[in-house]
Amino acid sequence: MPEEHLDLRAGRDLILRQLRVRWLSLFVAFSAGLSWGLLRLVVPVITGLTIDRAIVHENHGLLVRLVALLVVVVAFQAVFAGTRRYWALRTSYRIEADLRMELYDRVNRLSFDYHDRTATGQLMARGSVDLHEIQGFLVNIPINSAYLLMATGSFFLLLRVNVTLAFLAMAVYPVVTWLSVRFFSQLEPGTERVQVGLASLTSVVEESIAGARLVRAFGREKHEIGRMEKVAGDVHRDSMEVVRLRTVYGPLFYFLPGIGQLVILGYGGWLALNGHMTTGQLVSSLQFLNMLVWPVQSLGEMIASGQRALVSGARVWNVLKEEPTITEAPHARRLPAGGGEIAFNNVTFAYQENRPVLDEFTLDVPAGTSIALVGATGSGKSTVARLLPRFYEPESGAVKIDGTDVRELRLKDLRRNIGIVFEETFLFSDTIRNNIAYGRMDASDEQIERAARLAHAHDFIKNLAEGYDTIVGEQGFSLSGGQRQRIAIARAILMEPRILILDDATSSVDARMEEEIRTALREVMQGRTTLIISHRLSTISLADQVVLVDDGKVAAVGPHADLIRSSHRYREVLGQLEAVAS
Amino acid sequence: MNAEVTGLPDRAPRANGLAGAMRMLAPRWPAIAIATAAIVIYTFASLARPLVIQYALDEGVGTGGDGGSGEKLAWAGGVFFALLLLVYVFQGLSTFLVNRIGQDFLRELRIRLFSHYQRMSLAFFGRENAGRLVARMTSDVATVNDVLNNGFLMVVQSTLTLAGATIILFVLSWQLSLATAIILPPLVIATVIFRVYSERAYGSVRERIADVMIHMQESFSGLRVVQAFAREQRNMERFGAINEKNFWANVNTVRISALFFPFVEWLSAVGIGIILYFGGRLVAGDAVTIGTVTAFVFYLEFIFQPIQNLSQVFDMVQSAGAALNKIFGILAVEPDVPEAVAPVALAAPLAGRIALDDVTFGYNPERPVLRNITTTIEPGQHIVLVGPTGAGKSTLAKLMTRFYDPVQGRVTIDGYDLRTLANSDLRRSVTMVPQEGFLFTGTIRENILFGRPDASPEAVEGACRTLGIDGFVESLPHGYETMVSFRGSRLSAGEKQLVSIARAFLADPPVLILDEATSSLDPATEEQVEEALRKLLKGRTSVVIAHRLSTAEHADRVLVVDDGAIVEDGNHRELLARGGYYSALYRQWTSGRAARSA
Ligand SMILES: Nc1ncnc2c1ncn2[C@@H]1O[C@H](COP(=O)(O)OP(=O)(O)OP(=O)(O)O)[C@@H](O)[C@H]1O
Ligand SMILES: Nc1ncnc2c1ncn2[C@@H]1O[C@H](COP(=O)(O)OP(=O)(O)OP(=O)(O)O)[C@@H](O)[C@H]1O
Ligand SMILES: [Mg+2]
Ligand SMILES: [Mg+2]
Repeated sequence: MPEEHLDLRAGRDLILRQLRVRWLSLFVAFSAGLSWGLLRLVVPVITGLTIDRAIVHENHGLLVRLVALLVVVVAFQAVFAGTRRYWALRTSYRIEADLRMELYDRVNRLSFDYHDRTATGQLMARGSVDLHEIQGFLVNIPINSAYLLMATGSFFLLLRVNVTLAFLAMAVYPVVTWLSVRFFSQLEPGTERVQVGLASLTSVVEESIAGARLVRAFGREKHEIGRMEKVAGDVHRDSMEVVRLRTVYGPLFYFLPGIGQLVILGYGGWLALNGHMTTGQLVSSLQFLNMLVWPVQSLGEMIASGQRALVSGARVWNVLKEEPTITEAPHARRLPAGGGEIAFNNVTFAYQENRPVLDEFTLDVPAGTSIALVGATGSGKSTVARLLPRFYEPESGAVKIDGTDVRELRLKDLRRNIGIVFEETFLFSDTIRNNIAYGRMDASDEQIERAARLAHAHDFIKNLAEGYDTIVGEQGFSLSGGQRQRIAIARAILMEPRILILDDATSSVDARMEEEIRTALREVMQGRTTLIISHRLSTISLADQVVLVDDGKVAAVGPHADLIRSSHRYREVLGQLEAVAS
Repeated sequence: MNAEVTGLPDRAPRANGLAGAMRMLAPRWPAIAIATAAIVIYTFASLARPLVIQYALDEGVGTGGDGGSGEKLAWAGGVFFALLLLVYVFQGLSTFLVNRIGQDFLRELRIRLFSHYQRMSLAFFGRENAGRLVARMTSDVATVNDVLNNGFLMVVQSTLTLAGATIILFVLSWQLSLATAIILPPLVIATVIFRVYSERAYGSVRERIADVMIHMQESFSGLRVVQAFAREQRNMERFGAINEKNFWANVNTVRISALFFPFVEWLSAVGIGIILYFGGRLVAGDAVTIGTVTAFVFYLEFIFQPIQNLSQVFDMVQSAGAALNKIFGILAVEPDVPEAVAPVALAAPLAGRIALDDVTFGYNPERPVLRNITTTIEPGQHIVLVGPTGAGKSTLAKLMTRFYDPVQGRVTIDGYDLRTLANSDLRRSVTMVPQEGFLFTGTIRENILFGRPDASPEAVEGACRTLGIDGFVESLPHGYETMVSFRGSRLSAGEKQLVSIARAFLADPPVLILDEATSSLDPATEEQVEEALRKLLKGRTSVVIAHRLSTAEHADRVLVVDDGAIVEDGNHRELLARGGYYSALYRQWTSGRAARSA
């Protein structure tokens, strides 16, 4: 996979945009945080005053008053702490949820071409790990600002006691800050590698489970275990790298503030001994330093977390900035009444540049008929089918339904009127009922059962342990291939579409049942259009018209009986070269 | 879908995870012992620091009453520094050791769990939700990781600190200790209440976030269906509701913690107030010194922090215990298709005579899918299985490759029961291309190499040439190095099947089973592939499942499977003559040709 381009500035703008939206609650959290930080400075001050004025001078009245003041001040402090915590967390979760919704909406609307080149796992990571990273950063902004205020405040209060002492004691803090910035920036590549390692560990597990059939079939268990040993080993190695850094730096963050306390104890003690400073002042100075053990190292963490949040923001932005290539026209119309006439006018299309799939493809399908697309593997049959519901946009030319260009139609209206059964069946891990009703949640049980009957699925569903309430296992693999396909057909029929597309939808169904399904369908599709893609002679021959797709063009059109007589290429594709001779 | 959403019970078996973890950790006892010693040392060293402050104040500065002494102050400073150094060294040592033990343990656990998955049958993967199996190896292991890295350290350290601080305080002044103890009941009660509520709140967050993940996963991977059925709007609404629920579950945890933590903060300040008040009065009565009062103020933290730590660890240990139980529960599942303990040693490569002897099988033993099947496939025979959908053809193939073991009867190859063979011998002899095609994330070349990893690039290209698909692969933008992925690859359905076939082609086994492996190919390509296979498979056994009867025309033998039994057996001509299911099916199949002559 190519490296993703990360625009950190866009990541920042995204985060700022969300902060602007939630400015009020953020402001509350922020102010509460700062007030809390200020009040926290009061505790050591009162402690010092109490010792000096009340305890040393044995002033009982003052002692009571000061202690009461302490309790009251701290009560306020607690209120601010609670307010800060509540609004900071709530706002950060709000922003996370908002972004997730936006991401989900975007992914939902992005067209097939985007999903062709993007792995699901990657999108999942955007919606979980990355958003979490942003949330983790945002939540700490108010408290870290408060910490900064506390550190500055402590310094000024120490200055008032003794200038030399203040500078000596606080001297370690720039060092700690510098170290913590260094530490977290050194930590960053390691933690990133661990994250990447865990992501690939997850995908090794996922694939080995999803591909378990193949792993078993080819006896590749040892190879898979080898892959796991490698990724688990990588995670171990990178984690140990992180551990080594933590071992070196971690204890320093206790050691250095301890040195600050030592300075106060030694130098301050000496000052007190010589009467240049009171005992109370000494105790409160020690408390200030004690209070700052956490805040100062958190600055480095904050910076690192901010950087991660920017990267995550940029990744999320990379999804959000994508525009769906298929969009509704401003004045999109409803699909006009009609019988499902289809027209391709000179349609040229390519998934990738220089590899044209359709080249001036022109085809007219009268309403109410059934048409079969025939062609070699990779000739572009499915592509034709995908252009009809506008999953992709032609480079040139037009696709029309009942005389209207599909680009002028409302997307939802267009797609609801086309029932498509993909060649690769995808079922949701849900009940059979919900899978069939996927396109029409409001369908009644009778309607669902009728669709299942038409698709010849009712009989086997009824025989399942829990009938329509049976949950189809992972990817529907607890059903046989033909059973899965029939559920997909029922799902499409239930939509009562004007146009039904069966893209090799019965390849795993035996010829006999296929015939029965087709007979049943002919009845429901009376007056509607059916587009069938198949490689089976028996299926093809039943269509009103057959279209031979070759070289991106319509190579021949006509009833099967005509084509097999007239077209050499047709006989060739169908493996019926000897047919003419007979 | 996950149980949280579907209401299905989580059927994951449980086992005693703690015992299992202990067994795995036991061999590492020397490291654990050293780590514990290191934690003890640095905990005591940090406990001693307020005592030094007290000494410095009382004896050095002179608040003890006997006047100060510069020398004693210097001594105090020296000891303080020595304590800092001790903490520094032993904290580092314990951090390193504890994490090292934890990481080793995790690596071992992951590999063990994964290797266990590899021994599991497909039935296991049918039963277990894939997402949950992944979670065992990721989030559950991460939960255990948390406890190993922090939990152990915190338990030892917090218990020691709490005990040590209590003793020191009582020794310093029992009166002041008793006075301070007033705040303990509210602290403990608040902590317990908080834990109960937060456990509940975080439990619901875990459920809600699982819902969010499952819904995202399902709609992202099924996006083509979502758009084809125009379900975007509807899904948005559903996801919106799920997302909002997750948000409110989070806010719920915030409500609780926004009350609890500030309360504790306030309580600790009240504690300082109490110490100052009673301490002040005691100082007045000359019962204690100012240094002692100060030491109390500093020790308060040594009481508060451990209590909260311990309650947090309690949670951690609980959820890690649950995770361990789930992990070891999976490890305790015996493979239902176990490899033979003492496999037969094969003298020569297998010839490929497959025999089914009165085989009965059902995915659910009470609902047999295959009933009393007895048949023998001679080496070198080319067999085609046909029959209505859901009849049990794929199931039969899965029994021949021992994806499952029969409920009754036995499957043998060259007379050996499959259950007595080593997996490696079996896999080398019998290979199957499953009905559900699958491409791994990687290049086309890597996907083909999966069949035989040691094959040379020429062999890969050779296999493609013989199949006649080299032209197609080379026409891709990056040829053999074109990336494909297990969802959303950019090949047509038929092209994917061709890659799958090339993979089996390269593996070149004595017995090859193709389960509708050519169902999406156009007949001409299919014919070409079959031609190539016929050449490759000369003298080898092959079993092909197909709905297209053109395949059957060339077969040595056609087996018709219907409703779990082999109902017809013979070659194409014989079966046609018999006028049974096959001949009817064949008439259907050739109706296309009939239509032409009509
Ligand atoms: N999403 C995609 N991105 C890029 N190329 C694609 C994509 N889908 C198909 N192609 C290429 O476009 C060509 C036409 O593919 P299409 O799926 O339409 O073939 P098809 O006629 O349906 O074949 P089959 O019978 O095998 O299903 C193929 O060469 C294929 O490799
Ligand atoms: N993993 C499974 N768990 C439970 N039941 C299963 C599982 N796989 C298949 N079945 C059931 O077993 C029966 C036989 O399935 P099988 O896949 O063998 O059919 P098949 O003959 O291959 O059909 P098709 O032609 O549709 O592929 C079906 O009724 C199916 O629902
Ligand atoms: Mg196709
Ligand atoms: Mg099958």
